[in-house]
Amino acid sequence: MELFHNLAIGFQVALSFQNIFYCLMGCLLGTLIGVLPGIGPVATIAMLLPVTFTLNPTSALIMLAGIYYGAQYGGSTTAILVNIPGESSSVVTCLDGYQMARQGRAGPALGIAAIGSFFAGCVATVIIALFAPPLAEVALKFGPAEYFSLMVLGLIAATVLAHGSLIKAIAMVILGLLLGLVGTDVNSGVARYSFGVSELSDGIGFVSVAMGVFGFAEIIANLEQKEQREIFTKKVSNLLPSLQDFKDSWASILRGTALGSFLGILPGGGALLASFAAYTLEKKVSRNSANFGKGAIQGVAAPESANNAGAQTSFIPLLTLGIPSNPVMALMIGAMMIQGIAPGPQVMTERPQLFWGMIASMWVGNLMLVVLNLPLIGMWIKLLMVPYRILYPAILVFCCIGVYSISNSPFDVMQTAAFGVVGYIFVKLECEPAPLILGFILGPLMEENLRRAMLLSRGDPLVFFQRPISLTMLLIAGLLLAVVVAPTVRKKREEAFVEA
Amino acid sequence: MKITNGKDFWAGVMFIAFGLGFLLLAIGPPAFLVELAKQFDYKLEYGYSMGNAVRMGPAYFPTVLGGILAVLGAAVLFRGFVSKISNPLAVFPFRGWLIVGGLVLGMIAFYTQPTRDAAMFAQIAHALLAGVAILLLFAAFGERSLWVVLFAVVLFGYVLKPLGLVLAVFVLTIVSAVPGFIWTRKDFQMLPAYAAVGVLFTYLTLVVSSWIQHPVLAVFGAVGLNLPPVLVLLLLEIGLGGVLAFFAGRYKWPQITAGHVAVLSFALAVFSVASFVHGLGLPMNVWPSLWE
Repeated sequence: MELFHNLAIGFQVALSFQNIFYCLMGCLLGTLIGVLPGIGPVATIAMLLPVTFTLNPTSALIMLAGIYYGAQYGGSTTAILVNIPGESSSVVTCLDGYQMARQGRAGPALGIAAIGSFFAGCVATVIIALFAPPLAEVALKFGPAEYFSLMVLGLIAATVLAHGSLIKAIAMVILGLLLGLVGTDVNSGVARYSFGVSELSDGIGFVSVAMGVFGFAEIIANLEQKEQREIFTKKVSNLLPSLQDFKDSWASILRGTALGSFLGILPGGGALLASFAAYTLEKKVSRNSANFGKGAIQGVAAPESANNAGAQTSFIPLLTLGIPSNPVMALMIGAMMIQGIAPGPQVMTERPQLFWGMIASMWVGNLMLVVLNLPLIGMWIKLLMVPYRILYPAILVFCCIGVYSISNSPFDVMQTAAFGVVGYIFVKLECEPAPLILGFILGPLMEENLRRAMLLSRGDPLVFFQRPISLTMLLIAGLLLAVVVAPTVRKKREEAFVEA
Repeated sequence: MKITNGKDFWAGVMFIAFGLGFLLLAIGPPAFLVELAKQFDYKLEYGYSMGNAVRMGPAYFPTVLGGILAVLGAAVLFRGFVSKISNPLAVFPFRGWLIVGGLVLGMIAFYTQPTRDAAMFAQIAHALLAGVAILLLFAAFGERSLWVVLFAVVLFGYVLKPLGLVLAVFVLTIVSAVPGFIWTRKDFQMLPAYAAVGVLFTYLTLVVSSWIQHPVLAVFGAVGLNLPPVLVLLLLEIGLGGVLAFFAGRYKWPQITAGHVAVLSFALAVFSVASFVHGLGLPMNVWPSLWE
């Protein structure tokens, strides 16, 4: 029973006083930013990356992971009460959750969202523990060609699942790859695209990119919208759903969890996709699909379970292959690299404490979230009512100090502000920034693996098609593209996004 | 041909510009241009070496990617002409003359960089010039909220070293709060107070986080309470939040109640505890160093 032995190690690590504390901090912070519209997990994790320099790697990753799944819990509160997604993955929760709140059933909606999330979190933790080790074993056999193809697959999948236009998403990936190449080339020592600026020869800092594009641009976009919020606060009483509610929604929770766990593992997946897919599935399966959009409890239960499951299982590709499947995971890779850990299959064998400790902490964190969130819900609601004009300067201060403390230089702050402008332009031109960040992280890795693969094959590009694993991945990537371009699917995909 | 979708049109232009930019910088100017420049005593840099498929040079990957990006950009641009979705060409406010002004000033600042031992006023004048150039470049895009917020950020980066964290945070809060400002007397009165609170929280975080072996904690230890500095910080800030909430409740700031202030302080406390880094990692000026 190696699994139990491993989990025992994990819980030993996760239940140490220090790690419980960081897990709690991560969950609190995650819920906080999940509740607040306008600052998401990507910007927060980017902001806290410099902080993790001084922590030990396990505590750092436990805290950062807590922020991600904590945000999934918090996002639902805003969605249900204010009809604004606190988090992009709770966009679909708005549909039925807000309607429930209008009917005076905000309490049960919040309750079922928390219970569904907790159940999904527990299942996802077990799934990670079960599936990560065999996957890592496969990954150990990967050569440079396989890694290159895997990254191609990951990037293509990320674009296919992004909102909006496919061509723009692919262009954003490539722009990200190019930006990732700025700085000193490892092989030749040439400083590429640095224009003689010494700070740029180390490359563009990804904290700057993430914070500028996700943090600052979001704050500015929020400031442009006039505040129009209708909040149902007085009607939140009885948080516990009735027996009938449970009867209606247990199947949805199960389906949402299963679908979310599966979609989280896929490259390009994660919480966002999971919640959309779960809502669509639920609408198809349900007997009273006419009720959807009018306050059906299934429409809250399924996407909320799915996004939490997806958020957690998206750690599987990160921990086993070292490939990020969404921008949050890309930042986690950054955090690991800061700590001097090369992400990849060897993490599990070389650092079992870190690997299993993190998995165990996810379960601990989920428990904390349920215990914390239901009683604290009143406080989160209060926070929602703070006018944005009071809120955002405080967020900005923390962002700026965070960026400055990376290397104690004004250059980083300036760079982040410049990426704020770029992010604003992206928002206005409807270019999704998530693929850009993925490309940005993967740029140098991809070039390195391409070079190695070509060197080993003496310049024969066919090597990518001759090795079976590599070929399979490229075929899947091609298939994904073909499927999306096919007219019928394209229509469906647009519908799915329009609905939400 | 008429442009139907302005968003696609500009996105296409942007991608083509980035793609060609990366591509051309990687390849570098053709040999005859470099020779020509030599005649005029001007040194042009060659591009990066291309290498071959077996041993790729630093130019190989960016050239390929830049080419693909330009082609994709052309496709997006083309869609701008045929798309069924219609968007106006003016997607966001854009002021061309500010860009020109910013670029000119930026060039001047770039070529007149003073040496390290130049006079103090020359350094300051140069920093001001560069600052104005950046402001102009930011102000060329978007609404007021964009450039005011980002300028506050840049300003913070500039003044942190000479003025120290306390003043820099104060400046950042005041300047960045302007886009959300409502022009009433109470707002005018409360803004400095609000900025001061922000300063207090950051200051507390910095100070307490360096308290690992501080006598104050030893006092707690003597009583039998083993408080890590993090918890001290959390308690202090939550307490501070309570006091602030009490005063905010009496003051009656428009739209803002004691409850708001209390929760906001709690949120700040959580944030600052999470960013509790033993002394925030690197030494940072807390007080102005200009006059030392």
